[in-house]
Amino acid sequence: MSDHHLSTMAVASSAMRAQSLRVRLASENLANANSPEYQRRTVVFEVTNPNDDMRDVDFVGIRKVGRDRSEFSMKYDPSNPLANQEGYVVGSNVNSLVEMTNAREANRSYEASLNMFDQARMMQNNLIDLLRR
Amino acid sequence: MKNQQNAGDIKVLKNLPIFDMSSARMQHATKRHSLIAGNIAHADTPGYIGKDLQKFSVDEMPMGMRATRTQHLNFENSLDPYNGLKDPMKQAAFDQSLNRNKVSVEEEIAKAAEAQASFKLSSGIWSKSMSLFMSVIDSRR
Repeated sequence: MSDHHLSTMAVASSAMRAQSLRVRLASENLANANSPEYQRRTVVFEVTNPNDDMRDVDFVGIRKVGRDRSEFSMKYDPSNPLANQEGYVVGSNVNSLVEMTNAREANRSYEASLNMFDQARMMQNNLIDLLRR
Repeated sequence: MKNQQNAGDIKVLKNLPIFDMSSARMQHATKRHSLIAGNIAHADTPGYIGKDLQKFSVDEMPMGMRATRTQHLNFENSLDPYNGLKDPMKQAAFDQSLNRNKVSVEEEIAKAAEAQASFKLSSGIWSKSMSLFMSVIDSRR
């Protein structure tokens, strides 16, 4: 019984690790929103199982941390030293609204996993309390 | 006559079905809770389909696995009280997102609360029955 609790906590913590990477990437993207020719970074999750002890448990893994290859934003600013011959400055492809939403969503998922972790711990304490009688 | 009755009593004490049942239900709730944690953990994994257990039932108690998936036949312990996973494809999820993920966190949270309540109930039954026995054994308590 208590190994199910352990696997609950292990799964929840793998999810929290994945979601905190997602928050980190979102904040990297936001920080570089004004860097010229910066391609925003993206992350894709996957199901992994690195652990032989818990064969029937799906852990959260990182399939890929990639770059978004969509077009850069162009801004007309001829006085800028980085401007090209038509007077346009090439910016990043970061949309700060998208990044904020992404970070918020990652935060919520993190909290959900944290709650599951807490519940599993409470159930385990409950179980241990039975031994104390 | 009196001796026979005593022997019968001892037999009841040997089997202790209430403890078997409550601990089986605790195991079922724990396993279910663990699967739900997995579903919530994969709420943002593309193409993930949630898992769940079948309802706990006492009728299937001496407890062979009812396997709905071949992967779940090979448990060493045939006393496992939870019986097989529900076929995840047939499970009607609340919604499906753009990345073909079928986990609905709201639904999962409701299920987690259910599993937790079931666990609390059965651990409560366990400890109540235990204190019942203790009060018979030790009348000062």
